[in-house]
Amino acid sequence: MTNTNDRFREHPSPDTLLDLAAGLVPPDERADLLDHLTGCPPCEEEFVQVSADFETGRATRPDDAVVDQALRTLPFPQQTRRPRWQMLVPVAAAAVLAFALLLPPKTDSDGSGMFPLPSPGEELRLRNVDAPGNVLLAAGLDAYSRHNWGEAARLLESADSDGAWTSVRGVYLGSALAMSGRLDEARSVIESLDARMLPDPWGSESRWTLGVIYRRLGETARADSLITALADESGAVGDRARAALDVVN
Amino acid sequence: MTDHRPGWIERLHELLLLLPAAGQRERSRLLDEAWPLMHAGMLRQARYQARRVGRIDRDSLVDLVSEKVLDLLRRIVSNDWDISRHSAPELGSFLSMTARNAIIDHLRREGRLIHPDADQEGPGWDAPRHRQVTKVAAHLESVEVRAERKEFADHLVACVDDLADRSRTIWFLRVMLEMNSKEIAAHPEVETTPGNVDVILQRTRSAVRDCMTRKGHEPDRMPAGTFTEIWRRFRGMPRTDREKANDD
Repeated sequence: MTNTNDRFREHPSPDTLLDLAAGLVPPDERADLLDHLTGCPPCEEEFVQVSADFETGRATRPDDAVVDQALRTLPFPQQTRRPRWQMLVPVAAAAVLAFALLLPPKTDSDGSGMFPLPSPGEELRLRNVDAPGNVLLAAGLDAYSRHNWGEAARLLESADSDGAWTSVRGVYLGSALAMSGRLDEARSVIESLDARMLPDPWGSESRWTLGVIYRRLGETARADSLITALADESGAVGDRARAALDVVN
Repeated sequence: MTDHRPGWIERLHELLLLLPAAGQRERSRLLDEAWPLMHAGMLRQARYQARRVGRIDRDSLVDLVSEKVLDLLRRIVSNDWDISRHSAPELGSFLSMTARNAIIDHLRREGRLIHPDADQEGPGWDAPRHRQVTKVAAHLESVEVRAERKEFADHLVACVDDLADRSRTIWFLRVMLEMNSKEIAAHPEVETTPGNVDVILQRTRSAVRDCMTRKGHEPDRMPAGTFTEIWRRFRGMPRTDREKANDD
């Protein structure tokens, strides 16, 4: 515990003020400290800031379910720079959560070479939804989970997203457009994503989808280059890419 | 006041030591206490650093710090970072360094990093200047001013006291701490939608303003010391007998 024996004849440090805000200062010392703050405008000003920091900390504490997922199931040690949205989503205070992106992938090919992304499924829940953009985003992801590609694309195109959700919206919109045959638009959306920085399987699936789009648009060299790069990677998409190269070769 | 080993960092260190072996329920309890301490400690450092090396809005600061806190917790839980090999002061230094680096990395990525000015205020006070200002302020404060300040604070406490608990918390978090509606909505003592926060806030602000006006005050002119009195009354732990006696 902070030593407060000098009874605040001098000004309290910011650490002591955080102790106070967090309820860690014993009652007698607290009384002296508060008396000091009352007569010391700069100290009080600092205490306002520290209190705001502490209460903000309480407000940003993520739900247990989100923490559990983030702590236990989202290690990406192979990445040197973590994708921002992966970490921001759990702490986005007013948005969404439950994490479409944490569910195991379902990769059912429909014969077109396109594979759906892991479905948001029924676990997707919106909390504290108060912005129209969030509602559309949720509805779009819900349509995606029902494999209603056209509806998903329409809703996700209309949805607003900021910071944490921009990449989520882009990943699923790109996939929905591709699955509904709108290849040029899908290509544009996926190319705008930094797919290499997305966690797998979303990153690798997005790149696979882009490779298939290139091939179907007749851009064979680009398609081969991308599929070859994916073949060097581990996981289901890597296996798929190696199998595709085996067929070609 | 001289700096001592801070209580919050020792408490945080204790909590984090327990985290890797904790079950789900215990982890939740530990995080209820550890998250705000870690977040607040790092946010303070991030604020200081941002003041020195470039402008970052508060929402971005909060996001950056949240990201770092979650990352550090994950490293602790996965035993990637063995907290038992570090003392509490070392943990404090590490958190400060991590917060500073997060700000610099963020600004560098955005091309907005400016060279730190050595004359600008760093963590803690500019102590000599602060002492001088305080001394002058105390000297100038007349008995009348002190009485006026106390009366304002007492009346505001009385007006706020009439509010329901949750309305009062919302009022405090916005009016006193300037937190935004999303943060307030997610606060554990509030737990509602940002839209509802705005509605409640509009009502409570109006009620407090009317109450203060009836008592002859201009509620927008809040004298120094008011925040502390409000905090003491509504946010502090139960008061000691001496504190209660001081009120009389």
